[in-house]
Amino acid sequence: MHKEVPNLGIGIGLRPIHFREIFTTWPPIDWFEIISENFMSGGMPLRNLEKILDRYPVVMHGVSLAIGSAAPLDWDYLKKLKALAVKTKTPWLSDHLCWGRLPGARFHDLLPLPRQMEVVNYVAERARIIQDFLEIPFALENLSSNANFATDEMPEWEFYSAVVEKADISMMLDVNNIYVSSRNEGYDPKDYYSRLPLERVLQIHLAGHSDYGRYILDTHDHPVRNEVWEIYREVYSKTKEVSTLLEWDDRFISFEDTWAEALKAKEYQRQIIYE
Amino acid sequence: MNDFSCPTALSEMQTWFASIITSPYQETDDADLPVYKTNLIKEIQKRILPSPYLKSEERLGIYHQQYWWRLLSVMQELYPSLVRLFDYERFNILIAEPYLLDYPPNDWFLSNIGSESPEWLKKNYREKDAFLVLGLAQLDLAYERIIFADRLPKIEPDDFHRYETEIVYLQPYVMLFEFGVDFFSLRAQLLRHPSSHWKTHPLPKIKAINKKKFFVLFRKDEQDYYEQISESRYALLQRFQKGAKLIDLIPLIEDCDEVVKWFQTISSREWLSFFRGKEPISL
Repeated sequence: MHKEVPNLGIGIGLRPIHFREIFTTWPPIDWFEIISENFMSGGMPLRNLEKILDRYPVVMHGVSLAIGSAAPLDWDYLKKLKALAVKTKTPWLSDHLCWGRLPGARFHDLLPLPRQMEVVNYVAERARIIQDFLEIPFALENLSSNANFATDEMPEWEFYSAVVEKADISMMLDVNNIYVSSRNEGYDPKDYYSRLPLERVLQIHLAGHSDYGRYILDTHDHPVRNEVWEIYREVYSKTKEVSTLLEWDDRFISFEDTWAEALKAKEYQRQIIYE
Repeated sequence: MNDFSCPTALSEMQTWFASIITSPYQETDDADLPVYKTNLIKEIQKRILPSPYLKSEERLGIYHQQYWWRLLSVMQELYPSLVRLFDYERFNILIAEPYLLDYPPNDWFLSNIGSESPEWLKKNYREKDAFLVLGLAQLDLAYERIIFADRLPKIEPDDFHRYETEIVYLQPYVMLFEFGVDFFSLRAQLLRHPSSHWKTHPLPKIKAINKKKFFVLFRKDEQDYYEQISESRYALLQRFQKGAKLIDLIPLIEDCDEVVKWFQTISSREWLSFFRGKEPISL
């Protein structure tokens, strides 16, 4: 069930390119988020993570659960995920509200689900099973949408809300994805976030994106756009002051600049308190 | 409907969606998105809504484009020496795309998508340079896999008495190779320059030899190293890979003094363990 979790402050996504800097300077980062799958195969990545775990809180965020897929749950994957969760002592664990598998195939993408009540029921049931198995708070992240279906029965925010409420799980709210979806589908982002059960949010994701004119891709390779910071300001003020994380996955900038970009969130948080 | 059974319409939609995005495409529009035939466009329009800025087929095309771009880029990262040998475009056309069609990903770990490539090359790549391509592919894959190799508990000086009775195993981060060509040097030379360099410069020359060469690839302090070794030492390490007691290896030892020194070296490099790991990494 949805539970209160600690506010870890402001973190950044831990990426291999950062290890040298971190192991040399041990910067004063509040916490790191890891892509779970990158550390589930052992070896050097896991040994590096063990050094990080000695000094920082770490939260796990996955990309391969593919919860809305027509394939049965992958228990081998889930067991490995849980073993890593025990090792990292992650206070919660998140993945995406998407599909990406069929029996015998994985597509390694976060693919969109039809927004239908029968899909809500299907995904919510699986989310409950997963949360019970993991024994820690489980959250689903909203997608950046590039397509929606003729069979859709509800807008994305209603679909997202229905899944987390029916499953009684938490939200990992990506405010950049709200902006990307709103631009791609042509609606006001406020229509999205003002209708969410924001008390369920346990973490916020920030990121940059690539604008191709007629559409936007959630590429995590640019600074956070002002429009996205504005959504952050609005959303953060309505949550219970939750942990915030910057994702940066390509066209990397220096570690120092990445951290500086993430710290802008602190400035927005101060403004909210002042207001 | 039982809540936990997948709705038929969802399963049917996902099968349809996957059949499109996993198909190879040649023709693209100005935005680099796939161009579809009229019949398929009509089918897509029935299922995917247009946005204010994109047609239905363009919206699906984004996922189609991203599927192939992501997988091809991972394959290029996994096989850096083959990318230099062929250049990016030819690598995609000759190896990555046909391989991914025969072996679509079925593993949650993205880095595992190329695992079957050496096997695929043996069956499907029949050009004159097949031995070269296969050798480099095996090495590229080995360099990737060794990163994820476990470290079993090392043998401490206090444990030396255990050699007399216990089975000794090779650490998973020590991998053995037998080649007719020094593929390690060739790979190192290829990786010294980007793919664009090799488009305009002659590839490094390789010398085929009649006699097999034996190599060991290993990790120390989170770095990769390789060494050429003798056939007899290769044979000893192979025995440790399966697990062996020292006493059982005595018949294999020719020059006892040399072997003792070498054994001290591999012990100091922590290549051995009394613990058995997973099966040796096979390529």
